[in-house]
Amino acid sequence: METSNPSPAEKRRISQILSYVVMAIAFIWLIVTTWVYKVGPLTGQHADYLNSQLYGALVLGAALATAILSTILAMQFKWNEPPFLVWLMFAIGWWAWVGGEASSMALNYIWWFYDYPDITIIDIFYTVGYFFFILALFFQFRLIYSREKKIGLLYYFIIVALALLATLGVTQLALKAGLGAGHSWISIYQALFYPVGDLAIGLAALWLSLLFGRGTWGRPWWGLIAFALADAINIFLWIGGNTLLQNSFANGDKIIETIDLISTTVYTASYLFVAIAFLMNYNLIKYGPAIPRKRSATGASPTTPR
Amino acid sequence: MPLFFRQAGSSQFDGSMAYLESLKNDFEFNQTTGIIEVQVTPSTAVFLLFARGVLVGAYRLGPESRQRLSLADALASLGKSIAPICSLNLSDNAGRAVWLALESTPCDRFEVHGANEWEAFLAKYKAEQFTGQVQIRSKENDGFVFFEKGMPISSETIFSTLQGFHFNLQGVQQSPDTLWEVTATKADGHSQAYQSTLLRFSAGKWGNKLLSRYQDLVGQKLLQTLTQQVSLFIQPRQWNIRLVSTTIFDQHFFPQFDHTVDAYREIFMAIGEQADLILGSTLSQRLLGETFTQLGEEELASLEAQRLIPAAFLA
Repeated sequence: METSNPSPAEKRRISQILSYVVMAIAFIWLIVTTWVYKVGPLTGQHADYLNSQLYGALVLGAALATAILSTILAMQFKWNEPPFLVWLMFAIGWWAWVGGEASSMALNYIWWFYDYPDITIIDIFYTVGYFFFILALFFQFRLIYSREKKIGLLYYFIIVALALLATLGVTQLALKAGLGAGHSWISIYQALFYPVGDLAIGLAALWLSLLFGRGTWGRPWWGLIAFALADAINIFLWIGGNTLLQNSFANGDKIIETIDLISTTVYTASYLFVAIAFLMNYNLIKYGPAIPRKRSATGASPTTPR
Repeated sequence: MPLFFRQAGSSQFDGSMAYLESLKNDFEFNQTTGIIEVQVTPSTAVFLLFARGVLVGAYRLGPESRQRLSLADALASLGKSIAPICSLNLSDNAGRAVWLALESTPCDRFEVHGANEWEAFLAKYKAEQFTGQVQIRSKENDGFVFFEKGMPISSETIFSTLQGFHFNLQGVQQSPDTLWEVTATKADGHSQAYQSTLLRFSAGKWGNKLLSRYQDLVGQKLLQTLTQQVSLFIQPRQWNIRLVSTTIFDQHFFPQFDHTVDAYREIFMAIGEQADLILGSTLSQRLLGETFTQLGEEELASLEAQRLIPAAFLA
């Protein structure tokens, strides 16, 4: 029996259909994750623990998809191609966050009935992830803005140092405002590093998103903006927003619950969105864009040779 | 007798105006590039130049004069007499070189003997930042090289030998010849041939910088996708222009300057659309603008005069 290889156009079409299937799966994944978080479907003796672990596993799945697809995308470049460093650093960042999600589940298992230590391996993974995201953004901006005279890595370390110093400042302000009561200084510093990091990568990602506009290549950066939003809500509640809302509104608990659910949904959605963006970029590299030419500059017929 | 590419094996006959017309019809019917040379008097020749079957122009060349003619005048120059007529099919880039030669005026003639004089000649042009076409003739080689600011441009270099055409000046220098006749020409800035050459350089340089910058941002594979898409766009137009990696190879002979402008406008628009799709319009505009400003003054002027500017290539 004769078999023929699909043409590039057919391959592109198949990849597009697969992308839609993946999008549908991601959407269902998001709904299930949110439902598990909100309802907690498992019942029985250790229902809270099991629901928490089930939710953690679903988020870990989304993170893993992002990390795997980012790695596949990075592998599409030769090591000496300028974009390789951008996507490699981005991929390492995602793997660090996978480490964060996985260790979060592991620590849940170990310390479910106890308080977590002030600083855990989870924080280390997330912090390393931030540093790599900042590095990926640094390389991306360097590619765009400083082609002729490449700025050195020193600038990256200055940016990181500034972020750490800004965290220090915010920590002192938070302590003066009476936030984070009952927590150690280092845990407050660590907790506040996240919004500072989120703000830094969120603003940079926003800048990139504006630069890339409708261009498909910049979409993975959009996810960082969503993460910044989700984390900002989380941290706000953690450092005292809970109490503030409870004291300010009669239905404060309801508001907190809603905000928390939004934050959780956006958090998982961010992973899934970035994963899909990576998949789209991979398809773009592998099969090319599908959109035909729209206009002709001179109105000349394409079949009329000159 | 042939003035250009003597080793290329042109067909030569003594013929009348009817024979000349039949040769002209052959070029037009077969859509070939080439030249017809009519030796009107021992020191004067009339040339008809074709680009893919389209008559580019008719020219009369005397010992110290070059004049563009109408077709009627060119045919009439033969009158009722019979004269030596030769015709030569050429590649597009050879045709372009002849076009520039026919529309340029000789400004310097000298002979080169041996390697030392070659070095002196090249060093002199480099020091003078000479821009213009140079015809070099020797026993083994006959052809043209274009110097831009003293540097020979390989894409505009073509020589005929008994073994066929070649495209590098080193091949001429290393041939067993001992004497080379060099004629440097000065182009009229308003001539279509010179404007086309300048535009080709300028647009080509801009395109190369743009593709290279695009590759920096998105990598080799997406650049390949872009060049494939643009090539698909070029294909039905039958332009002999190829995009290979970050280089635009233009070997097409457009019979009019406007056609060259239109072609590059279309190509840059196709590149802009592809870049827009991947990078978005802001970044694509930035890339177009950044690479545009890296061009030289003359190149910028050549492109701006035709509104081949960054703002023209994105929606």
